[in-house]
Amino acid sequence: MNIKKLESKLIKGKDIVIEIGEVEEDYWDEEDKGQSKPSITTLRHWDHKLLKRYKPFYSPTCDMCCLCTFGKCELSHTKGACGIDMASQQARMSLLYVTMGTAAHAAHARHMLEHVISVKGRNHRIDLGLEVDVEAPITRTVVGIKPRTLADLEKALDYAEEQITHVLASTAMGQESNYIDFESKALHLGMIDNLVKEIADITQIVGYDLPKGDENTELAEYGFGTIDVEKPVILVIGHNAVAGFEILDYIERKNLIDEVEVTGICCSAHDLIRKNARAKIVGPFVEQLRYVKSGVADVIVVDEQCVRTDIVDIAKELKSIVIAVSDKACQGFRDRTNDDIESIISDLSSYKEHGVYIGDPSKVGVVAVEVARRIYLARKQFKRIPDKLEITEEAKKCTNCHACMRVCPVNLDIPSAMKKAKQGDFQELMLLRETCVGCGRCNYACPKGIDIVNLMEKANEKIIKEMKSKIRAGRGPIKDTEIRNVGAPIVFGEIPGVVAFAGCTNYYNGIKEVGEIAEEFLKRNFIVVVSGCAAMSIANYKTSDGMSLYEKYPGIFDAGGLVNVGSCVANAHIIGAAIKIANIFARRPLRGNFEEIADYILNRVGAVAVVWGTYSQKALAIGTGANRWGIPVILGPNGVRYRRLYLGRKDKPEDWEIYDARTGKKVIAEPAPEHLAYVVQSKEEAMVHIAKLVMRPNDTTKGRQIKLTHYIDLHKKFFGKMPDDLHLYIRTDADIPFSYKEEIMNMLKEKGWKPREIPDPTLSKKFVRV
Amino acid sequence: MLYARPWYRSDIQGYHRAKAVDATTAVKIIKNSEKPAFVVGELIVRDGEAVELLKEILKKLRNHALIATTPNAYREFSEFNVYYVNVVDAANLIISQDWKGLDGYGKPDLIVILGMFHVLMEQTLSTIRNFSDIKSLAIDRFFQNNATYSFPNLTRKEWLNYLRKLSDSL
Ligand code: SF4
Ligand code: SF4
Ligand code: SF4
Repeated sequence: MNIKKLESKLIKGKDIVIEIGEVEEDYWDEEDKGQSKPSITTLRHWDHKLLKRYKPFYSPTCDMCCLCTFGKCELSHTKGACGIDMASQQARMSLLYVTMGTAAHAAHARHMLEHVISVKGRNHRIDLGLEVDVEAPITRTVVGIKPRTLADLEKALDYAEEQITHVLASTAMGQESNYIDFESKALHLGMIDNLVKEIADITQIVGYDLPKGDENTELAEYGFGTIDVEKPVILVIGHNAVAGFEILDYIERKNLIDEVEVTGICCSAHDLIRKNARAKIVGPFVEQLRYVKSGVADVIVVDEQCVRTDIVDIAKELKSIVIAVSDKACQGFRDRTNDDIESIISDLSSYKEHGVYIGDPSKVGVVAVEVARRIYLARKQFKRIPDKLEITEEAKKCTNCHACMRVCPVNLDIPSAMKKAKQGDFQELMLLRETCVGCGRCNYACPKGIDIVNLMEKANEKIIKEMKSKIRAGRGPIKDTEIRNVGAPIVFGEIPGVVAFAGCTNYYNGIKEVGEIAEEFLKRNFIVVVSGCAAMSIANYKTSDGMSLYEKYPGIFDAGGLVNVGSCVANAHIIGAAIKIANIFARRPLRGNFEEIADYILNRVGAVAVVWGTYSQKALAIGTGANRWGIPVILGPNGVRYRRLYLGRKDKPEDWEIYDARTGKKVIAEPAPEHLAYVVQSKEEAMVHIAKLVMRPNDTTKGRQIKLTHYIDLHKKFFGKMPDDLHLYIRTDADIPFSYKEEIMNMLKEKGWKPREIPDPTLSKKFVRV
Repeated sequence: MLYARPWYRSDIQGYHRAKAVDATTAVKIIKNSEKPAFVVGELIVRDGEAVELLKEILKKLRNHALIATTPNAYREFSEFNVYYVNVVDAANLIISQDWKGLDGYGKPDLIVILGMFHVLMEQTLSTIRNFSDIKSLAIDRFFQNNATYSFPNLTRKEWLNYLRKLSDSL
């Protein structure tokens, strides 16, 4: 606005230019509690409180730092050339992992948002249906906005990207020095990770009309055995399903549903079945190499994240066509985004090119389907694994050198299996697959070039062909109505807990364990929530009556429910559910109110996450975010390679000091939850710790009794004795489970136990009400 | 002098190399320790012969060493009045300045370890090596580069012989 001349009582002036950047309409009447859009230091005091209780535990994967040319530096019991010590270096490295993971999710969200905006427009409304009023609990709490349109999500994402830049900057040589502050930044970015996942998932829900919290989503087909290899087969790998959605749209438009098989691996597959349950899930990451090597897929569409980087080479040998669709993974292909569709189809089906990069998802939809239809008949010869005679011949090449075993992450005795296979006995080879994580390292290490992965596949051919199961399509958010029903029983402890399974498939003892753990807690009436590869691993598991857990248990967020929220980005809804309990049930406001919400969850919501097969940086980001909200995470044994855990010390009562919000007095509470990020060595240990980590200082006596019963039951079942820390968790006589009363009373006497009051627990003095 | 390369090609941490030791040297190391702690992981339970040998070893050490198992191995060794620990909890306590040791035993000066999933063993030994001065001795079948001392890579038969020697000489 230009004003030539202004004369008023206050101002006099000429040629005044006034610019108004953006007018923010504040349509949310909730008071902002002052922590909206927190910077990397706004919540530092909260992190320091957590880290005082849950101290970082470091396990260096190597003693070196190679991050700048002032080094490399060896840091064991000394310092680097920049002055950094071992603890801070480990903190910096795990922070870098968190940053990579968060950036991957944020870039995913950005692409998804840009694409949906390009189709639907910025003003496209965010509407998650009549039963989901609190549509974006993380965004509301962290960003302080109630997003109404995609444009609002853009603002939230702008904020998140800025935080990623600041945190990444802190890892450069000569910046942050203190390990606790590195950890505070990791917790901050973990929270940002949860935020960007929420943005990504809400965008795809409203952009592609995915389920909005429906507990009765369809049961989709799961497993290699469900795929008709006689048809043209498309495989989608990755996490950003936009191209996959376009494939499904094209197939529907052309009425080709019964003619073409659309299959998926990893999270894109989850999202495909959310859109159309006719798509099929091959399996989680563990199946990626095996399935690609089987040659069944005529066209492989790779988007982003968790895509093996050797796919292109393997596909080329098997004459599978690869279409790269993400600018983050162009795979070395020529950019054909702006080329005419027919010319791309013709070049690919004549093998002029064995792969292309196409940045326009709608083109990918047409190209993938039409190329698959043109080449599938000619490719039939590649859709096979070697026959048994060939296995014997291959095995005969083995010199028992053990190179394969020395790279195998689960130390499988491949040489012994080869010895037997030479004589036509494939039993051992068959068994290896149960624990194999499908990494392919053995193949690359074998000096004789034996294709060990394929030999395992052949030995298991019958089982693989019969692998047919069901998975309930991801439902997205938890409904407000469900929260109203379960809020009280969860907070008072009568529903013993919420167990969330997330993460990858780097299992140390086979894929079946996730299903076994989940089944145990479903039977015990916990709420089991699942996402990502963990949700698929559960579909891989069959109960004793041959059913999938998804067929056996309802998809409702209530006791005994098995809730599949969907892909990894959808697991933001799990943290969202914990936030909604604080908001909808306990009426805690959300806007800019992170600390109070996290304090509420930490002390009152008995939720625990399990990441059994950790490998990706994203899994660490997700888990670290959960930790900042007060949700403990149990990691499988490989999780110790993330270099950092957050461990509590139950032998130090002073670490468990809290305020009683009713009186303002400081009191010593029980060590609950005992740890924030913890590694266990076996599924039995995991189960015992799940039962223990759902205890919260706020449990009612009835709730505590129920939780202790599960803890004691599992402990006795697996370890043959009573837990030795019960005296810490029993506050009054009324907490003691009836069935163990006598035994416990004796234990308590021995320990000199005295009853104490149950406080109204909070970690922060400012939440004291007197 | 014994020489061993890490069983896993990636098990290289930097300048540190564990010293490969045979059973005779391992016996000396254990005998020289004032407060040894034995940490037994559950993978050992898969090998009946090894369990029997280990029990013989523990019988001899029960008055000299603190014995702890991971929870899954507890049942098998409960006759020895053992503690049971999660392995990262154990490492966390061992390196903590303010930890006084179990039941007044004091902090151990040597950790003797076996039967652990290799990643957990490798990483927790790395913690102990990098954040304390406590020595460690790995007596599994495979050379453990993060320990102070370790058996070299052994066939199962050789390993059982090493364990037998420990049980005979302790
Ligand atoms: S960042 Fe520091 S420790 Fe790392 S290489 Fe450079 S000088 Fe050495
Ligand atoms: S593919 Fe399987 S057998 Fe081969 S190294 Fe990986 S886990 Fe071991
Ligand atoms: S690396 Fe190859 S040749 Fe060596 S033992 Fe393994 S399969 Fe046999």
